Amino acid sequence: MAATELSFYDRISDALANPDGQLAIAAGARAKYDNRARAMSEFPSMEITRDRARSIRAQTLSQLDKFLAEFADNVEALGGHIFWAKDAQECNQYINEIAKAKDVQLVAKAKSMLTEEISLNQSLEASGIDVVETDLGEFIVQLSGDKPSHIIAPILHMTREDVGNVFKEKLNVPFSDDPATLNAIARAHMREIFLKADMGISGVNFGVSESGAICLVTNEGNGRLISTAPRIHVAVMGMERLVPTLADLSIMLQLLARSATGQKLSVYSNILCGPRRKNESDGPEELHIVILDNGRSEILGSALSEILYCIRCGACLNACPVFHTIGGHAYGSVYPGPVGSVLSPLLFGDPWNPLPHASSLCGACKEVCPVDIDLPGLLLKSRSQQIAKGKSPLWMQLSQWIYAITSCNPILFGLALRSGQVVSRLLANDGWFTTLPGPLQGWSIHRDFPALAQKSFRQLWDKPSQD
Amino acid sequence: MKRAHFLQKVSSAIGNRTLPDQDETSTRQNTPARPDLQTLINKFVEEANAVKAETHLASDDEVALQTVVQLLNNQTNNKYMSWDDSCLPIKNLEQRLDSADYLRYQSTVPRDTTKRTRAHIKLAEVSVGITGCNAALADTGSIVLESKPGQGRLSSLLPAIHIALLTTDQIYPTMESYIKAQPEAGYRSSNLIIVTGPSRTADITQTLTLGVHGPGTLHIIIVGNV
Repeated sequence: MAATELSFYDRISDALANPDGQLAIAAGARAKYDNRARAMSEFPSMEITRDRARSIRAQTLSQLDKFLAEFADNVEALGGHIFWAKDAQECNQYINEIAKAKDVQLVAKAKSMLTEEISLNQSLEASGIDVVETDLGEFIVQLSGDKPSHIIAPILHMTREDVGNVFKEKLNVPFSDDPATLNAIARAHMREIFLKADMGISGVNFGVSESGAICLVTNEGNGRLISTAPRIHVAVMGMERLVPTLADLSIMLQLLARSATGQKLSVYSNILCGPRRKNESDGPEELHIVILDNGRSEILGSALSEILYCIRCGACLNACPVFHTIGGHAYGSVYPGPVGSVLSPLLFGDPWNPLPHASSLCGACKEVCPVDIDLPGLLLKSRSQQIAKGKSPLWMQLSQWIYAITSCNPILFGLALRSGQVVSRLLANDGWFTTLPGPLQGWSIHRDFPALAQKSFRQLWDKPSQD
Repeated sequence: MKRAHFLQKVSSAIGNRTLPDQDETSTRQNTPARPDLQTLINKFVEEANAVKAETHLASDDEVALQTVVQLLNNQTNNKYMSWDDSCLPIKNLEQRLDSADYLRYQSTVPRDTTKRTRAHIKLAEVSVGITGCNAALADTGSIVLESKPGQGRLSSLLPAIHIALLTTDQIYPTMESYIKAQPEAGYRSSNLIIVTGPSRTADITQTLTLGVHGPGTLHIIIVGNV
């Protein structure tokens, strides 16, 4: 992913300056948050299932090499092709080569954040291939030249009028803001693409090692269509996406659906074992599964490896007060929200370093995570790694250095305390600062800052009051 | 990248990582007793209706056939596609529909590229798809279909209306119990598909809309003595 032109703080300012989008995002995320809470409360063995899911993820990743080898052997035994891609470039090149060799003109794509991560569409389009996103939300994103703002709900930031205008302008249809009408237009438009496409491209929600199956989860049915109608199906899988067995998959599917949308199961849990077989009436002639590393093996070997447990349900986005306020675009990454704040600097590098700092560490994300990832802990680790590597901003390094020296020296500490008390006496109003100076001003717009007590704890301890 | 290199990188990463909980094996599993058939059917119907599937009870094959004809009667065109008769739980569906003047479209898609597209475009005219089921899951209201010779994927996918014929003995309480009973279901067919209600989206302002790319109407006819 290329760094965006604006800084994180500029993107936040942009988001805050768009109250319509902000409201749409907050309302949408809260609705999803409530749906999840309801679905989980009806799930009798939720905590047990969550523990089980977490240990499945932990076991898989601790023997990932073994499970990957087993998965690949099984896929090949079923007649599928495996390609091992170390990075975006290798992956995109491989898919381009297949497309060229098989004379592919039109690609129908199911929603996949991984292919967004590696900019696959742009790479195929550069070779003159038409790529059409078939998930309704992603299709609208593609038509309007926008970017998805949520990993599950790509157009969370759009109002229905926005969508109506995009359709009117790009598809030449009369304006409507009725979701059912807009849906019917999209269905009709997309039908032909499914039926004519030479290649279907999807991500992979889960790969099953014991069988070599891949599972695609959709509500709309586009995942089924792109893996059935086109003669070639290419599935791009992040290397951490495995579960050992079908029984493990069933646990993950139930947690994924409840966490993502509050459904007990998504409409279509589509489990694919190799290409079309002998005497079958339909299905793809070829199945290619690209197993992609793209920085994941480094994460696996790091102190932040727990982030690879993620099953991309989006629940942490919906729970996050920061996400509610700034929306998905402000993160400048395909992975926004708490999970994105941990992942983005690891996958995309230093320009994303400010993300883990945009959190009050309230812990709402950990609470809703279906595999109980300690997101606040990972955010803190991410911050401290940046500081240890000297990657924090100069002013922060400087103030931390000053603080460290002052608080290690009793005389300096006492002096600092005294001067703080003097400033408080002169400038505070009834024990509170109503405005802070210079760069701290923003902090005090909506709240007051407490002044230092005129007698410190130690002073009180040394001279107990007489009364 | 070579497989060996890729896996080598993964192995060495595992060598120096600290994954939380990796040794933890949860032994807590709940195995509820299997409910009686009537309870199971009731639960299935309740959950299927909750996800907006329409359920019909048919005491025998004849009632099931009548239900299918009735549902087809509501259609503007007389074209349908289906699994082969031998894969359906009721007998003589094709013959019966044939005599009622319904036209079954051949749903085998040629492997040749040009012919393939042509076949797809023709199949898109069909308004109803009829299939059997390989199982059903009561606690989520889902039906489970396997692709096999005679059991194509497109019949449950392309038409706007999907009619699924389910027998009462195919209903399992949960996905876990189904997988336990039929572990080979995970690889014996090229496509195992768990369908929970009609195709839906809430992408546009969280408003539920049915029938995006898959069927917008799902009828489940439950055949058997209840």
